Amino acid sequence: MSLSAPSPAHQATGIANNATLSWADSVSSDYYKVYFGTNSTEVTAKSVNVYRGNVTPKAYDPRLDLIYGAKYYWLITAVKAGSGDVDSAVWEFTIVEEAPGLPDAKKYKKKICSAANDKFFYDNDDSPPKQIELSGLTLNTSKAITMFELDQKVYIANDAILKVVDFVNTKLTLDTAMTVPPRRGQTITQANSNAQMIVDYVAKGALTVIYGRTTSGTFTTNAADTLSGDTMSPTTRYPTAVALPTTPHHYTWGVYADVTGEDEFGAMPPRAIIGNRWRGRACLTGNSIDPHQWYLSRQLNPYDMMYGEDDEQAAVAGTDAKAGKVGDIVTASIPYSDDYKLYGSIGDLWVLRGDPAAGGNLDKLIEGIGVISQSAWCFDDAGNLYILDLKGMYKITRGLASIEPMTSDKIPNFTKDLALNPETQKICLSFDPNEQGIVISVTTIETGANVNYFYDLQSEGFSPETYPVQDAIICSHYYDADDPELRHLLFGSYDGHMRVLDPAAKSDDIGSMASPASVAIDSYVLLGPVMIGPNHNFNGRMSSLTVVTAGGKAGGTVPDSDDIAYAVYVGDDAETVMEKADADTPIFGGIIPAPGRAKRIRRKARGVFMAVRLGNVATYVVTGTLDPDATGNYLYTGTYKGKPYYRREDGAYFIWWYSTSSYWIISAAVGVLGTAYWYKTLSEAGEYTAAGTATGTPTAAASTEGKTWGMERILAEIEPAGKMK
Amino acid sequence: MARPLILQFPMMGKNTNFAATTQPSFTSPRMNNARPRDVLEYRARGGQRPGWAKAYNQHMGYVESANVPVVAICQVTIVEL
Repeated sequence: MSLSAPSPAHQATGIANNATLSWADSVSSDYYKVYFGTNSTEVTAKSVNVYRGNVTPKAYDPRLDLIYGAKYYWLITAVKAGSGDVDSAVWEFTIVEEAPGLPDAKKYKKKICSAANDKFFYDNDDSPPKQIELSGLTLNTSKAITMFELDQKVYIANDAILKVVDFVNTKLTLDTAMTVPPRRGQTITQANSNAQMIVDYVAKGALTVIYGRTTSGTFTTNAADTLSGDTMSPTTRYPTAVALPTTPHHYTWGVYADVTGEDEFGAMPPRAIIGNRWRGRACLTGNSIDPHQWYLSRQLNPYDMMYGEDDEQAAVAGTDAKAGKVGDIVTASIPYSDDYKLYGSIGDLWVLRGDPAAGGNLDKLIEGIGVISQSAWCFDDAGNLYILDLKGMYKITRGLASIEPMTSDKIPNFTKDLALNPETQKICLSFDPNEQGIVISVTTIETGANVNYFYDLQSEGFSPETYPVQDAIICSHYYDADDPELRHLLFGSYDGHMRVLDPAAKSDDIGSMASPASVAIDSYVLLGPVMIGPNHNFNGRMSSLTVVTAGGKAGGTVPDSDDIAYAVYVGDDAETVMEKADADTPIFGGIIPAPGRAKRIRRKARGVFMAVRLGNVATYVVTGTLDPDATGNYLYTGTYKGKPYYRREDGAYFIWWYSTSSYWIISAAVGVLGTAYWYKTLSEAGEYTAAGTATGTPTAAASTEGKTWGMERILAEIEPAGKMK
Repeated sequence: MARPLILQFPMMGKNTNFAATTQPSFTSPRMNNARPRDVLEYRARGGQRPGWAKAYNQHMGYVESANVPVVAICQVTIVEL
């Protein structure tokens, strides 16, 4: 009985700090006593202080990180009944001198992918990244499409086109087809190069290509460097081409090649337009041939669609599960953690609880409330679900605890105003963690016309928004990029760009890189109507108006608001005030100079009700070859005869409404035609006609100059102003 | 005697559920492109919505006759060995 072959070797240095100990024994002892520590005297004396206990195998794990640079001593006592104890020598080793540097925290990279114009795009490795086309992959973007991530790949459900974009595997193209492929997840090795890969995918019926993750070495294309491993047969095959995932591979999403010769992995659905992942499975639905059906792949194997196998990770479909199909045409598939998966139809909502391959059930959650289309839902960051139904918007609280109508008590005509029609519109709900709100967007596919709301989670209010056609929303994705500068809710725009709602942008981008263009945002709010009379039979009088805009005094540390246009409306009743606001016929209006507290507006307005409209300052740019020269920028200045008027920046010319003949006029003074002027009908914008001594054809166009505004407070002073008849 | 009247920004958004006479506080019957949080400092005081800006310079939906929309976006995470 003798002990030898210590590991780490005696007097070895540079040992890792998670080393385990092992040794050899000339006989099979009953057990071993372990003495281990940094004090050689104590180890030699087999002190209780360094006694680590008894082990039966010839190995010992200290189960702690050893100290960098420290020397450790150890002694093993072999115990065998009837033979007496035998001690090893005192062995020693030294842990690596210096601690390694800080761990590399980032071991992954994220990329955004998009689809447009029948093509697939992905981020390259530039900083900032560029979207580049993946050559050779043809989609049909006139059909419904979803893309989702699973296992470092993008899976695409595009009706009859089911594709995979593979960012991780090496592709080996073989000289001749295999007879039997290796199984998924098994290792194959190449002779001579000793390169190895874990096999990920061999397509059924295409045994000349292997996709797998290279784990060591570099694959070569020498005929002598044959491949072998697992069930792969014959072992004379070699790669004639080796393609790294430097450029992503793309291939048809099919089932894995059979290894046993029998049908092992089933078949893909013939069509699907909705895809996502849930419980580690690839989930498909939206098969127009079988619209009630749902399909889940085997867990962590999107290439196994063999439904109904007798194990809990097997692929499963509605037909082959106790849960059954959805009782209506599926319009949306909504995965939530591992707890449940919702299927929406136009009129109802269904919930799949538990894994359907392990007895999960599919039940109708709500009768009469559904999800209007595949993107008409989103989660917030608290796990609450929001869905858009033909009757309004609903909040389903985390864990399906409650269902709350959101719009019926605020905007009863919410869906009527949106004119919802999933056949002709792209309807999206998009949660924005940065803004803590939800963008509800409805875009007409044919024209780009759009109606949108922003729902603020904190105030629980809906704010309507309109976007230029170019910016109309078709799809969205929140990109949780590592770089905070890239961390945005991304939107797919109607004009084929990808855009963000940028707080720094004061106008809406509508151009391309070749032809940059932007347009001012028409933003406004109506404050009121509020009663300014003592009661409905008494007039009130507003005697002054004080507006404080954001930014304090000009400059300083607080960002400044731009000027704000205001207009005041009064009437005998609240609805008259609203009608005047709709017709834009204020009793007076003007510009509030920003930032900070503007000088008090000391104009009077009399009525029972009042409202104040605040908004972006409209500006018109007049161009043309004119005599006299009336070209330049005209700013909204106030109202004249119940219509807005605009003043050129130098005050020399005006655009104003001539109520006598119902013309818009450009002249040197408001209310005075003068000897030289231009006129037009309908609206301020457009081409004017010369009159008097004026020559030329001026054109007025809304300015594209961006402005934004924020307000602190608006205060009116009011007093009674006499009883009404 | 004049008395002050504070006009509130419609933090709670649009509301058309009530008679105009009893318009709820912090709501408005008419508004567009305005949000509760201004873009200057993200304070809940009211202001214009953020503007649209390009996330990428590339024009994915470019075709010669008429541009076509970006129809799907997703992200993928790749482990670096």
